[in-house]
Amino acid sequence: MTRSYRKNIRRTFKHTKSRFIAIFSIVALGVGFLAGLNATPDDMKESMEAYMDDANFYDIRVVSTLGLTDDDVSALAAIDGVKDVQPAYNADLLVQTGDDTVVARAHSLPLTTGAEKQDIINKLFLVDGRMPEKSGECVVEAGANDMASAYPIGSKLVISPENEDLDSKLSTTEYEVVGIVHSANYFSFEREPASVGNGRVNLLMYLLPEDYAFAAYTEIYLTVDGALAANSLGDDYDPLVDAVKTKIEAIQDLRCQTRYDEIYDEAQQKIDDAWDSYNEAKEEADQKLSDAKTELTDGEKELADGQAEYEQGEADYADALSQIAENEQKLADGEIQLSDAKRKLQEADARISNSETLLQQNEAKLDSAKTELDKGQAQYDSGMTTYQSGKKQLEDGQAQLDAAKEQLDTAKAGYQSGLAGCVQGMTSLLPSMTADGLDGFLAFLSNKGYGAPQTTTAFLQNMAEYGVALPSVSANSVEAAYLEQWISQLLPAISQLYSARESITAGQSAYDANADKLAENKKLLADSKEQLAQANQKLQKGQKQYDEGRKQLENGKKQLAGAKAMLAGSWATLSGKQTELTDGLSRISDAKASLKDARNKLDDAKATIAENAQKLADGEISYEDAKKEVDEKLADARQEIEDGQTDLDTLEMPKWYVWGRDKNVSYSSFTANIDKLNAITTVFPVFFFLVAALVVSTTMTRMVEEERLQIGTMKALGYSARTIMQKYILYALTASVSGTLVGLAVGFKAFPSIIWSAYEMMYYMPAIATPWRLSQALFSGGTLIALSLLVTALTCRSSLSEVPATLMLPRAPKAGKRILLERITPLWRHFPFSWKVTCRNLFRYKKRFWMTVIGVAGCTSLLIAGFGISDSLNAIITKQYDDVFHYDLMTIVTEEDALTQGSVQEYLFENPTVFSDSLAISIQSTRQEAEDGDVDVYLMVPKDLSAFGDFVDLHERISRKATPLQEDGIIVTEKLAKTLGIQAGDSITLQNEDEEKASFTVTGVCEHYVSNYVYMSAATYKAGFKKAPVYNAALSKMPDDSQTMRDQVSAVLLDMDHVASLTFTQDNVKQVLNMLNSIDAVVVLIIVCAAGLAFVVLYNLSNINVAERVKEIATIKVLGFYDREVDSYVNRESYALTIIGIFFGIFGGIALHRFVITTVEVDAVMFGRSIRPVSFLYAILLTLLFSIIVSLVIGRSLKKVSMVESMKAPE
Amino acid sequence: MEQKTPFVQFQNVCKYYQVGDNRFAASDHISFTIEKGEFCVILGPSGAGKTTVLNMLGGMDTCDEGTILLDGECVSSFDSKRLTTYRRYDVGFVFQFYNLVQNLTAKENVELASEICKDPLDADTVLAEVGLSDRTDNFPAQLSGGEQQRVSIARALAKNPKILLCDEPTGALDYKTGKQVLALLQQTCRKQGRTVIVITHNSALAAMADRVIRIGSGKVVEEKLNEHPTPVEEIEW
Repeated sequence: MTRSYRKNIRRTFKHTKSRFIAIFSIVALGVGFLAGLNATPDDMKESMEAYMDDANFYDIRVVSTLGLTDDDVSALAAIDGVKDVQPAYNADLLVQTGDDTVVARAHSLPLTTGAEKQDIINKLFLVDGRMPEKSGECVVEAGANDMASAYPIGSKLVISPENEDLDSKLSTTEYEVVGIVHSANYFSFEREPASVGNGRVNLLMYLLPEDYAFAAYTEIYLTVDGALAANSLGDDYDPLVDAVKTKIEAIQDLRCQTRYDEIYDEAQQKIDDAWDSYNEAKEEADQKLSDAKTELTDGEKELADGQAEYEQGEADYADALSQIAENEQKLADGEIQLSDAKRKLQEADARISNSETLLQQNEAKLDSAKTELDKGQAQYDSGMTTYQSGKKQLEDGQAQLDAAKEQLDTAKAGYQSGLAGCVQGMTSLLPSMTADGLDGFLAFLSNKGYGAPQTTTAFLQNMAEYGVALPSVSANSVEAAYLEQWISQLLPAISQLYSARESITAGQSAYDANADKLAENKKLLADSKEQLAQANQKLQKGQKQYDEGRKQLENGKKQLAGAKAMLAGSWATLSGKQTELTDGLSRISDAKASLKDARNKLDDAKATIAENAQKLADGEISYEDAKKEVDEKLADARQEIEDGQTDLDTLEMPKWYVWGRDKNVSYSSFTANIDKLNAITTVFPVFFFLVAALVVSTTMTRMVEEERLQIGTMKALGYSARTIMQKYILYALTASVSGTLVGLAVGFKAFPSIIWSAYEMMYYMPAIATPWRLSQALFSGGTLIALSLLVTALTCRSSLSEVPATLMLPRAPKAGKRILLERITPLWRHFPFSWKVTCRNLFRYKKRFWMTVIGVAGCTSLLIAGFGISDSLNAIITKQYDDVFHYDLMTIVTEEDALTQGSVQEYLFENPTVFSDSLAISIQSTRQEAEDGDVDVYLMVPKDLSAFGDFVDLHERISRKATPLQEDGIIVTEKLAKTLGIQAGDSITLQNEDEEKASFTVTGVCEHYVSNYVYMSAATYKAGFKKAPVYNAALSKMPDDSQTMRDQVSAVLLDMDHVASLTFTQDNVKQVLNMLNSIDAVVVLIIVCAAGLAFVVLYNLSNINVAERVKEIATIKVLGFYDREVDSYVNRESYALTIIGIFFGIFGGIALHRFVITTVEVDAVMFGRSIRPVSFLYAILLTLLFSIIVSLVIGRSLKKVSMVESMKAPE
Repeated sequence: MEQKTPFVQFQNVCKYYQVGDNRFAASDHISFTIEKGEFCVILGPSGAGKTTVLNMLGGMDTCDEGTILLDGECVSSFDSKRLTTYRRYDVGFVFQFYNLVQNLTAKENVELASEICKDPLDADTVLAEVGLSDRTDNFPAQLSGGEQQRVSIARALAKNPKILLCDEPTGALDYKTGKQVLALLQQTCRKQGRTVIVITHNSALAAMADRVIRIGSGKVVEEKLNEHPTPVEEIEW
C-alpha cells in the first residue's frame, strides 16, 4: 500500500465519521446484546457453581427411614469415590416466637467429633452475629427473601410442646438466635415442604449437635471425588455422582438389614428387661401395701375408744349447761318483771308531777279570778253611791218644778180673766171678738215682734194686719173720736195683757225645759240602776264560781298528797327486788366459769381425737393412692412393654433415599429458571443482530457506491483490485471490531447484572460473576465482523468487476419507478409531490426499507414487551386481588371448634364493624404429581357453598364467564390446569393433606394468578375422600383494611387461643409490588435498548438518505423551499417507515410478550396474559419520540447542505 | 423601459473568500445594470467570478459589500428567510445538470416548483411551450439531456419568475441540443418579455444577447449593448 493511499484511507475515516459511528454503534448494540444476554445464564450457573463449591455443597444426601448409625457412616466413607462423609441431624418442628407458631426446620451444625480433619460439607456463611457456642444457641437462615428478618439476633425461639416425640428429637427446647447465616442448601425464595404444621418451612435454624436427642443420625451428606472440580451443570458431573450413587445403592440393602437387626435386637432385649423389672416391682409393691393396711386397722380401734370417752364428757357438760340456762331464764324473766314495775312507777311519778303542775296552774287562775271579783265589787259600790246622789237631786228638781207649775197656773188664770175683761170692753165695738181671738192677736204681735201697740194707729194697723176689721169710720167724725177714745182706753189693758202673756209664755217654756231635763235625768238614773243591778248579778255569779274552784283545788291537793305517799311505798318495794336479782346473777356467773373449764378440757380431747382420725384418714388415702399409682404404673409399664412389643413386631425394614443435588428445592428451581432464561436470551438479540447485519451491509454498500468514481480512478491508475478493496475491508473491520469490543465490554457486564438484579428477589447468591466469555464473544462478535467483511467484499467485487471507464462515468441514477399506489389514480393525483417522492423512495430502496421497518418494529416490540411484562405482573394485583379474591383476611385456626364457638368465632363472625362477612373454609396444602415434578396445590372447601361466591369470584379468564362452584365437580385454577394438562370435563386424581387419594371431575377452569388452587364443595370432598373436611380457616371481608386496622386485627386475633396464622390480602399485594419494583429495572433496560435500536437504525437511514440526495436537497432549496419544507421533504420518509415499523412492531410485541411471560412464569404463579391498551400507546409514542429526535438531528445537518451542491456535476 | 431605475442593478458588489491566510475577492466591486425584458449574457472564463455573481443574484449567497437591486428591491439586504422567499417567487433557475428529481415525472418536476408559487403557470402549458407535451409523464431517466434541460426550463418558467437565471444551460448538452435550448430561452425572452440571464464561458453566445457583460478576475471587464442580436440559429461555435 502506498503512502498516499494510506493517507486516502485515513482521510476517508476522518470524513465519514457518522458512517463509522453508525456501523460501530449498531455492531456494539447487536454484539453487546447477543453476547451479554447469552452469557447471562452461564454467568448465573457459574455463580451458583462457585457458591456451591465455596460451601462444599453435598453431592449426595442419604436419608434413612430408621436413622443412620456410625457404622453406616463408616460404610459410606469406605465406598470408592466418596470423598467426605458428614452425618447430620435434622427435624421439622413447630416453633413458637412471640405469639406466632411457625414451621421450622432445624439442621445440626457439622459434627466436629471426627478425629480426622475433614472438610465440612454445607458450610454456612455467617452474615451477622456469631456461630452457636453452647447449647441453647442457634443461627437462622437469611434465605433469599430475608426470612430471618422476623427473627433478629437475640430473639427467643421456643420449640412448641405440641411437637410429637419432642424428647426423642431435641434435648433443649429454648434457643436464642445468635447469628444469621446463608446456606447453599436454601438459596431460593421457595419454601420447602415440611412434615409438620401447614406444610411449608418458614424458618430454618441450625443447632449444635449436642442439642439433639436423636438415637441415630437422620441423614448423611457426601461429597464425591472429583465432583468439586467438575461443573455440576456440566456433562462430567452426573456420571461421577451417579457412579457413587450406584455403589451406595449396592450396600444399601445390607446396611438396612443390619440396622433392622440392630434395632430389633436392642428393642427385644429392652422389652425382656422391662418384663423382669416389671415383675420385681410388682411383688415389692404388693408387700409394702399389705404392711400399711395392718397398721391402719390398729389405729382405727384406738381412735374408737377415745371417741366414746369423749362423748360421755360431752353429755355431762350438756346437762350442766342446760341447768344454767334454766336459771338464767328465770333471772331474765324476773329482770323483765322488775323493769316493767320500774317503768310503771316511773310513769306514776310522771303522772303525779303532772297533776301537781295542773293544780298549781288552777290555783293561780283562782287567785287572779279573786282579784277580778274584788275589783268588780269596788266598781259596783261607787256606782251605787253616784246613783243615790242622782236620785236626791232629781227629787229636788221635781219639787221645784211643781212649784213653778203652780205659779204658772196662777198667772194663766189671771191672764184669762184679763182677757175676758178686755173682751168685754171690746164688745161694743167688736162684738165678734172673743178671748181666743184676742189671744191670737196677742200671739200674732209677739210672733211679729211688734210688741204691744202704744198708739191707736199702731193698734189699728196691727189689727188690720191680724185680719180683724174694725168698723170704718170717717175721720174726724164722732165715731172716729169715739173709737179713738175706746182704743185709748183699751190700750193699757192690752199692753198689760201682752206683758202677761209674754211672761206666761216664758215661764211655760222654762217650765217645759226643766220638765224635759228632769225626765231625762230620771231616765238616766233608771238606766244606771239597771246596770248596777246587772253588775251586781255578775259579781254574785263570779263569787260563786270562785268558791267552787277553790273547793275543787283543795280536794285535788288532798288527793295528790295521798298518791305521793303510795308511790314512795312502791319504790321501796322495787329496790328490794333489784337487790335480789343481782345476787342471782352473780351466782350464775360463777357456775358458768366452772363450766368453761369443763368445755376446754372437752375441746382438747376432741382435737386430739380429730387429729388422730385425720392421721388415720390420711394414712388410708395415701394407701389408696399408693395402691392406685402402683396399679397404674404397673398397667402402664405393662402396656408400654406390650406396645413396644407390637411396634417391634411390625417394625418395617428401613429404606434409604440416596438423593443428588437435583432433589434440593433451591438447586432445582434455580436450574429450571436458568433454562427458561436461556430461551429468552436467545430470542431477544435476534432483532438486534438482524438489524445490525442489515445496517452494516447497507452502509458499506453505500460507501462503496459513493466512492465509485474513486475506485474507477484508482483502478485506472493501476491499483490492484485487492489493494482497492483493502480500504473498504479495513474500514468495515475497524468499525465492526471496535464496535464488537465495546459491545462485549458493556454487554458481558451490564446485561447479566441487570437481569440478575431481577432474579435476586428470588435467589440469594453471594455475588454474580460476569466474566468475558470467549465462545459468546466469538459467536456474536465474530459473526457480525465476518458478515460485515463479507458484505463489503461482495459489494467491492461487483464494483471492481466493472471497467474503469464505466466506473468513472456517473452511475446512471436509479430510475424512478411507478409504484402500486399510483394505480389508484384519484388518490395519487391528490398527493402533494413531497408525498409522491416519499412513496416512491420508500419502495425504491428495499434493503433500507426492511432495515428500518425491522429496526423500528423491534423497538416497538421491545417496548410493548417491556411495558407488557409490567402489566402482567400488575395484573396479579388487580386481577387476583380485585377480581378473584374478594376477601381481605384469611385466619388459620388450630381447632375446628374455634370457628363455631368461642372468642375467635365471635370476633370474626359477629363483629360487623370490623368484618362485614366471614366464611369458614377448609384449606389444605397438598402436592400433586405433574409431568415435570410435583406442584404445590391448595385445596379449598367452603363450609357454606352459597356464600362462597362473595369471597372468591370464579370465572374464566378470556370469556369472563362465571364458573361457580357447585355441589359436585371441582374448579381448577388456570395455571394448574395447564401444568397438569387438563380441561373441563376431565377427571383427575387428587390427594388431600393426609395423602389420601381420590378421583374428581373437573367442571371448570378459572382465572387465577397466584398459587394453584382446587376448589370443591364439602359434599364433593366427602364423596371423594370418604370423610368430611376439617374446617381450619376463615375468610373475612373487612370494610376497612388499612394498615392500622390490620395491625389492630392481628393484635387481637394472634392473642387468642387456636389462631395459627393470619394472611392479609393487602400484605400479598405489597409483596407483589416489591417484585414489580425489581422488574422495573428490566423494563428500563428494555426501553434503553429499544431506544438505542431506534436511534441507530433511524439515524443511519436518514443519514444515508441525506447523503445520497444532497443534490436534490440543494436543488429544492434553490427552488425556494423553506427549511421546514426541506425538513419534511426528507424526514417524511423516516416517519412513514416508523409508522410501518410500529405497525409490525405491535404484532411482534404481542408475540414477544406472550413468549417471555409464559417462559419466565414459575409453577405457583400465572402472570397476566394481556397488555393494557395504554402500554401500546406508550410504546408507540416512545417509538415516535425516538423518530422525532432523530429527525431533529437530521434537520440540523439538512440546514448545513449548501445550495452550491446543486451546481456540481453528478458524482 | 425606464432609464431611471434599471430592472437589475449591481453596485460595487464585493464577495470575499478566505483561502488559507489570503482573502480572495471572487467579486471585486462589480457594477452593472440589466433592463427588464433583456436577454443578457454574462461571459467569463472559469474562476472569473461569474458563478459568484449568479449565486448572489439568485439569492443563494450574500454579498459582503455593495448593493444588489432587483425590480426596486434591495436583494443584498435580505436575510436568509427573505432570500428563500425571493428565490421562491422571483427567480427561475436553470441548472447546468438539470437537477431534476429522479423520482418525479416531467410534469411532476414542473409542479414541484409551481406548487410553492403564488401565481404559477399551468404545468402542461409550460411543458407544451418547451415542446414536451408528449413527454409529461416520463421520468427524467427516460428523457434525453436536451429534454431534461427543457423540463428544467419549464420548471423555472412555471414559477412565473421575474428573472430567469441559467447557469451554463448548454454545458452538459451537445451542440445541436444546446442550440435548441438556447433558442428556447431566447424565444421565451422575446415572446414573453421575460428577463433572461445566461451565464456561460462560451463567448460565441454573446452575439445573441441584448446585453453582454464580460467578467474577468472578479471585475466587470466590459459591458455592452447589442443593438441587433443575432438569432441563435445563425450562431456557430
